[in-house]
Amino acid sequence: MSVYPTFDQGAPKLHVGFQSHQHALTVCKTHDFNNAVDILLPIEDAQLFTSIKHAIEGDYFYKATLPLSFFLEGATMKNYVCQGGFTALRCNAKIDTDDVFALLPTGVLVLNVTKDTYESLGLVGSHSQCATEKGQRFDVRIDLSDPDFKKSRQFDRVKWCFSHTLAQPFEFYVSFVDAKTGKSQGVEFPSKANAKHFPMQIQETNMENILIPSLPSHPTSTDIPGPGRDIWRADMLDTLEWFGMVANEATRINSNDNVDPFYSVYACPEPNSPGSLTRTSVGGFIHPSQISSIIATAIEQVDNGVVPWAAVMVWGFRDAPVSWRGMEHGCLLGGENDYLLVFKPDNQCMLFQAVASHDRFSI
Amino acid sequence: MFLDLNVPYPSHGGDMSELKKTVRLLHQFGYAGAAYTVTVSGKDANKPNPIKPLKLSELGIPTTQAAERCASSVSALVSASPAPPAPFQQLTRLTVVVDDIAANYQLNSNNAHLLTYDLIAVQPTSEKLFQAACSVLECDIISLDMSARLPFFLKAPTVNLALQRGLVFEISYSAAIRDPTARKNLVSNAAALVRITRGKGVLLTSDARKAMEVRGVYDVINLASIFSLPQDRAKHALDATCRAVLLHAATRKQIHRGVVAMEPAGTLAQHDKWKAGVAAADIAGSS
Repeated sequence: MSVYPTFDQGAPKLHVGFQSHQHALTVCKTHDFNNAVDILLPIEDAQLFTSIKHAIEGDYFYKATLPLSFFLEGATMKNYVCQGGFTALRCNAKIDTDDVFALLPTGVLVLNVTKDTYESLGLVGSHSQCATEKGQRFDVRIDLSDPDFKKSRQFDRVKWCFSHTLAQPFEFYVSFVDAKTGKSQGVEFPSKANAKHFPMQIQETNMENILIPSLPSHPTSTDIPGPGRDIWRADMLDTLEWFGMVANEATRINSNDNVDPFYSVYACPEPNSPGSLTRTSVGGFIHPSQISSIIATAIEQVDNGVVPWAAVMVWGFRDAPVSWRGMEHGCLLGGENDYLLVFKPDNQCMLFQAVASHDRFSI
Repeated sequence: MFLDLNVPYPSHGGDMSELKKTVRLLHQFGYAGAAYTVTVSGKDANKPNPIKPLKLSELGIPTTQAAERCASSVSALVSASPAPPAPFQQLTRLTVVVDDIAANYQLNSNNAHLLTYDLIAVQPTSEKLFQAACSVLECDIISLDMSARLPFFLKAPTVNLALQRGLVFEISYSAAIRDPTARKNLVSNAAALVRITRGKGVLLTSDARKAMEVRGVYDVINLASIFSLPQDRAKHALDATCRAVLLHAATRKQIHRGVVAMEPAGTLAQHDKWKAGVAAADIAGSS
């Protein structure tokens, strides 16, 4: 028996799977708060960059100082929230220590608040499942898009709370996207909001002389028995590691890299061949439907046979209060809610979802 | 809200530049505040508070004039109309090294000098004094010198007594950075403390004399795993326990017999007038 007490600690999770293209789009659409997207294509072609840029060009988001009561105003509810595609997330608020507020595209307002704020707030929520200790954080959810909400007593209560107990303004990232076209639309803010308009940052990089591995093939069944399962798992992790190396622009994957094994023993998965990569990075407050349109472009390139595969890497906000499907998200030592989709011909897609240890999402 | 509740304040004529560097680094690492510590031994507790808060604007911490003016102290915590938090809270703390059981350290609310500090910590040097600190002495933090071998064993009944009174035990990590022998002692003492307290009521602080000795919050959490403190408990030791300490101090100072506090209705800020039952129309009328 150990002298010291032992404590169970949750481990971060990685969901790996082979899916259809359609399912991959669902994964993307249910992940609400994204701050960076990278598109990787194993070919050097300026034309491709133009077509991907076209999918996201002209999109923008706002940074505005707003009180929470802004989201309850008649005009906001009617013109933006009930239309769908209106998202907001409080800036620079750490989910571990601060109050985090977010409006999901579905119209649900999520208030993930500390104990102190909850005690003075006056709205009923539930214990946060991602807090390090029960009772330290609370999760309050208000469905603003509910047609009966405006007539209900809850509306009056929420309005009173947002004008009395939680009346101060906070800085928010705000984006409003047309549900059909996926293009950004303008939002009218009150003059006090000091709203600023930010375009998406798009950057293109060409990477030459990179060792590109051949990707693991699609198994007939994911339920592989015996040692085959471990081999499959190792192959998938090696593939993910390689994509991580590309994302970090590590020199270990250069075909002419010659590093002392004392520093690094990394080896690119076999078999591999040297080639070029086109990497397009998009940064900002990116709406899921904007990512879907990027993905649609990537799928088109694969289906047309222009590229053998296309990869889309997406990083979610570390401090977002939700990850996938509105499930609660926490940080502590990880906070990742990222995913990688690798599209291949014949409606095949490899999916990797990195989920932090303090996250309620699971498959 | 992560806080570092032990940053030594330079004694008379000491060099303030190192403290400024430390505070700047703490702010960069995501701490929301620090407590400047004055350590005295014996009866020196009867001296006025020498700590002057630093000007945040000089440190390059973005702040407003209003935040600069409002002296951040724990009393705002229990106020009905709390001021908006400063971008970096600066608290004052007195650590009294007690070494004589017979001496009267005047650790009580009649000592006016004591009330000028936000937090009071006691550093007992013997088992009897440790027992006294846990059971009777009026303080917020029990700070043991963990960089040296403890002269006594920590016993569960004594420690539990302190935890029941809402006191917390401090582990200062910077000694482990300064000196290898201190590191050895700190790990074994801290592990013993964590075993006895089961990780509850433990406070992690830096006690950094130089900016170099400060570590980021998540690095401290990793370091604490060596003391067999799991990550969630270690995070707790850096934020929730700090909050508990501040509330304990506020209760000790502000609240009559720890039960009731009074505040004139006139001191309420305009936006908090509703708490006194003033109708919304009256608030609008008077503004």
